[in-house]
Amino acid sequence: MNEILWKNILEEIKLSVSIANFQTLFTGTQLVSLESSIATIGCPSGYIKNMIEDRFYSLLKNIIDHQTKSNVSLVFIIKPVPAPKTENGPLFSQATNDIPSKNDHRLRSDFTFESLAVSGSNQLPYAAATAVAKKPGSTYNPLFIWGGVGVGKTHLMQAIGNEILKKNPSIKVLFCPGEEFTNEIIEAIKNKNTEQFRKKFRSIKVLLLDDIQFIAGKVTVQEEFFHTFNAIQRMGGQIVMTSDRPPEEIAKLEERLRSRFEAGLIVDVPPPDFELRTAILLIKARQQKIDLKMDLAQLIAANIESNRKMEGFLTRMITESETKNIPLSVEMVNTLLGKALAEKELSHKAIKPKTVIDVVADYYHLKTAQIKGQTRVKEIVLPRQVIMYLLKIELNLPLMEIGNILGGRDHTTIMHGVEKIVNQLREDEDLRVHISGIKQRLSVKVE
Amino acid sequence: MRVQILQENLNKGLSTASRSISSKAQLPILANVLLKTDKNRLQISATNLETGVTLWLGAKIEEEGEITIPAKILTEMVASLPAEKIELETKENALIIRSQGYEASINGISAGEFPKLPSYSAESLFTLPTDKLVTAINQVAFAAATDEGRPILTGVLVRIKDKELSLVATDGYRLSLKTIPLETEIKKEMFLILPSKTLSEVAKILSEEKNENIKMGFTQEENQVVFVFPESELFSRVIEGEFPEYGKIIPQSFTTKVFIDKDSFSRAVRVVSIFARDSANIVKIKINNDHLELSANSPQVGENKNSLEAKVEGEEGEIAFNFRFLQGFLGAIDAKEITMEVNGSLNPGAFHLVGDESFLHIIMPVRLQNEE
Repeated sequence: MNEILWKNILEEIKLSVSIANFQTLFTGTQLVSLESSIATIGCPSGYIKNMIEDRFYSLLKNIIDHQTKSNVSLVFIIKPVPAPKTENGPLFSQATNDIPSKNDHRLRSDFTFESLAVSGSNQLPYAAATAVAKKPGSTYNPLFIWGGVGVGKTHLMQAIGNEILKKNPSIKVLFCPGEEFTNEIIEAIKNKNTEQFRKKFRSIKVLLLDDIQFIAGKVTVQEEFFHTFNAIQRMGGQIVMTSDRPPEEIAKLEERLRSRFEAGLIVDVPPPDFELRTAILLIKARQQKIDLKMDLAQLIAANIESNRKMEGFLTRMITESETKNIPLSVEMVNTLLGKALAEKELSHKAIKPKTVIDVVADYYHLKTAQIKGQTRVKEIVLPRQVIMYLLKIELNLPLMEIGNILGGRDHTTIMHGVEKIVNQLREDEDLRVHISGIKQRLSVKVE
Repeated sequence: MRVQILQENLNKGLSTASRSISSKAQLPILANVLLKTDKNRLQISATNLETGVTLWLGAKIEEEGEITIPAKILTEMVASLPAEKIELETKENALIIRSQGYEASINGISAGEFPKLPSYSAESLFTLPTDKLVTAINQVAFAAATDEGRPILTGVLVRIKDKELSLVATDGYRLSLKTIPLETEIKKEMFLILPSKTLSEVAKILSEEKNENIKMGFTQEENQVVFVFPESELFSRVIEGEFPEYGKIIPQSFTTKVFIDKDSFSRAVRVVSIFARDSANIVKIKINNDHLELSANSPQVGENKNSLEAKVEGEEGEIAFNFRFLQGFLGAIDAKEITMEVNGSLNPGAFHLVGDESFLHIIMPVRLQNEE
């Protein structure tokens, strides 16, 4: 509608102004809107807007008034007509039918530095990783990250890859679990195309090798990896590896590889502390679009020590809350704490309630009899409750049974004791240290 | 207006200003430069309504005033005068120019006719790194299209994000991309398509004046960017439209990577291009395990082959390019060694400078007829 009107207006302008004026000033103009007697006219640039406004306002107004048969006021704005979409040329048309698969670096897009929680305990590995991501190939090469299960090694490593790709999407990054690396070599040897394998790996700019300890003890794999390692490093490429133990503790690792690993930076990722666990939990909850309250997060973090278990617990809790349609609450966390974990916790089957009692008693320098007795001294009550807590949460024993084991106590007493420890863990750093110390001893006992 | 000014100053100012004037200006006023006294300096402005430049020259102002004068005549006239003091004086609608025995009077148009100069707010400005910007513009702007039929491709995409500025230009056959770090963080992310001519002009002004600092600003309502130099300002419109998604066409892999000495490669391309001119500009590059073989032939001229030492990694192969694109790229960069990454003869070749990850150039190959 406006377009036709504007075309007519332009035709009329053409009659009144010189060709030069028309072509220079009016060709790129448009009627943006015509509402309640205000015509908004878009001009391609500020210069043109000023010139039309200064010289042709009254002419334009007369013509528009005449065309619309009303009395309009004119408003000028700068609004260029967008350039029409044109053929972009062969470079772009070929790209559409041959888009390189974006995912061949095999990184998980959600493993980024942004989604990584950092606190005092993993500050060093984080700093090393960001430094590598900033200047791949030059800062710490290779970077060797080691640490226990579920501490975030893989996350850190993939974050390096994602960060590098973010800055330069064309760089060749490959994430490869150690086991897959091994399999590919074996496959290549079997099919007699090791050449292709070499080309694939040696042209990589950033190689991220997860769980490198897998290659230990495999002679040809180590040999191949040694050459790949050298080739990449020679080309200025970056290598990042993770392992569950430091290089000197990986048995059956060739000396020349070990010395190469040790030439770069070796950082260990310690198990997350309480604050970090809380932060991780909040991040995970946010990723699942769940509004997890701080006190709940602290409660969970205080009672579960491994990241993966925490994640599992969170999922379990959310499912529970959704299916039963009850809100997340402290009570719910309390009831779930024992159930959700017990099945997978430690190697419980091997732990006997008696061992727990012995270990705790020993830890607090008490006698078993004292614990089973009736004394209500503070020094004894707390260890007793710790035992209740461990038997309930870790071993998932029924309350009645715990009561019997602990010298014939009522099940409500046990319930009270477990709850007390669960809640106290949230605020009491000392208690957290004790419990984790006890768990440590327990796991040693089992082994 | 009566002004005394040194010929060198005026000459330099006029030649900068006249670059912003369209040679095909249809309106007489747009073929003129505005001369105006501004406090104790002489201000010169010129515009083609898309871009505009204003610069200030040191001068002795004896009487204030303003006038517009046809740029071409004035520039030529001043350039021909000896390097002496020049006196400029307006008399009605004419400008009288006097210098040691020379006197001329040029008819002008009243300054009131000249388009109003744009303004900008000083807060919106941010500083750019001079040297790096010049390098980036020189490495990218040449790859933009020149035909006005594809307006968006005549522009250079200026992307400012966090502490980085990226320039991207493509004409559909080749693409140049360069990223430079910024010293100051810019809060707002920007995606602007600026005419490549504007950026080339920025680079020209910066390299003419050593050690200049440069600031840039963008105003949304005016759809305009401004580059502010210590003694001049350059305004430009922003091209409206959508820049092609270049991320998709950046090759992710290659089968062959070649390291070449830049100077020898340039020379080889130059020699072989003599023979390629008459056969659609096609230069064939054969990649052997330790050298490249460049060849071209045309029925009328004859044929030519030259080989060039190179470090080759990966498969051997063959690829053909339009030598104009190779020359364009080689002429724009300053490097000792370059790499060429090839992924078969039909996929674009990617060029890097050894030791400089921030630059990438992509050229679409020419399909070879004699291939099966």
